[in-house]
Amino acid sequence: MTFQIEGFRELERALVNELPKATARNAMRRAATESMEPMRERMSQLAPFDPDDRDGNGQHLRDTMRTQTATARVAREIGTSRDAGVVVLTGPAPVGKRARANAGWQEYGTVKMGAKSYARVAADTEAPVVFARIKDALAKEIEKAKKRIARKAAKGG
Amino acid sequence: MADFATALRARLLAATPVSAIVGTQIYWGVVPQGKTLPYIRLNTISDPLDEHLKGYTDRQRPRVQADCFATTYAVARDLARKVIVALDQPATAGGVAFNRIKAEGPRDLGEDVAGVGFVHRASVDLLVEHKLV
Repeated sequence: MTFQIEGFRELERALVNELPKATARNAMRRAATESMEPMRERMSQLAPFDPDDRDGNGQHLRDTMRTQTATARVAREIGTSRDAGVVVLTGPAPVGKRARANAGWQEYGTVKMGAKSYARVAADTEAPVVFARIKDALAKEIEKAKKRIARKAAKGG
Repeated sequence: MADFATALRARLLAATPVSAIVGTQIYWGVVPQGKTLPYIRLNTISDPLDEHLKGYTDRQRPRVQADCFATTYAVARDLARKVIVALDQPATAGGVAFNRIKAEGPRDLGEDVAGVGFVHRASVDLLVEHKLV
């Protein structure tokens, strides 16, 4: 899926020139996480649900949806280095090998069972919403960070 | 009445490289019991309606998962590649005008099945832009 979004030049300038590197990364991470929330919620709504919890592990797939920052290794595999930005991932994060496997079986099906997809459906329907939110979320986080820095400077001075 | 699912299946059946491997064994949703490998299983994953300010357009771009099952890895992958090639170019079939597809994959999703052995599965996501004509 490819989207073109515009109007980021000013934001990029603010991130690079007006904020310390770590602060800029945190602002980007928070903005990305907040923007992904509709997709995370949609995945939860769509995930197959077994009210009887027949595998008896006490966790339901729909309750395990998380948005997390990708590790440096995963980010590299996706094709984004830590220097180039942040990578956040949204999807199921159940505990236990079998529960993780089940998340995949539901999404892609098995030989005997067709896919009951939740992740791709959410991505297809909510991606435009995520991209519509990211610019405002980032601008808000940058402003908040600049105010925090100004407050600290005022206290220190 | 024109029907996307039937038309897509007809396009795949009409592609000689595909039908040479699976014959007519291309199924939507459920594969009937007792079918022998290789075969293709199709599932609609998502079908968001395309819309503009005045309402929905006449175009749709569903995501279809095409699972290519075979007894060997090579045949499963070859079949997946042939499915992509079969749908690569725009065409009209069964009252449906297909644009060229966008394919994602194939993914390797084979698994052990009791009494059958290892079943290889090459799974392709097909984004099939089309409209009824």
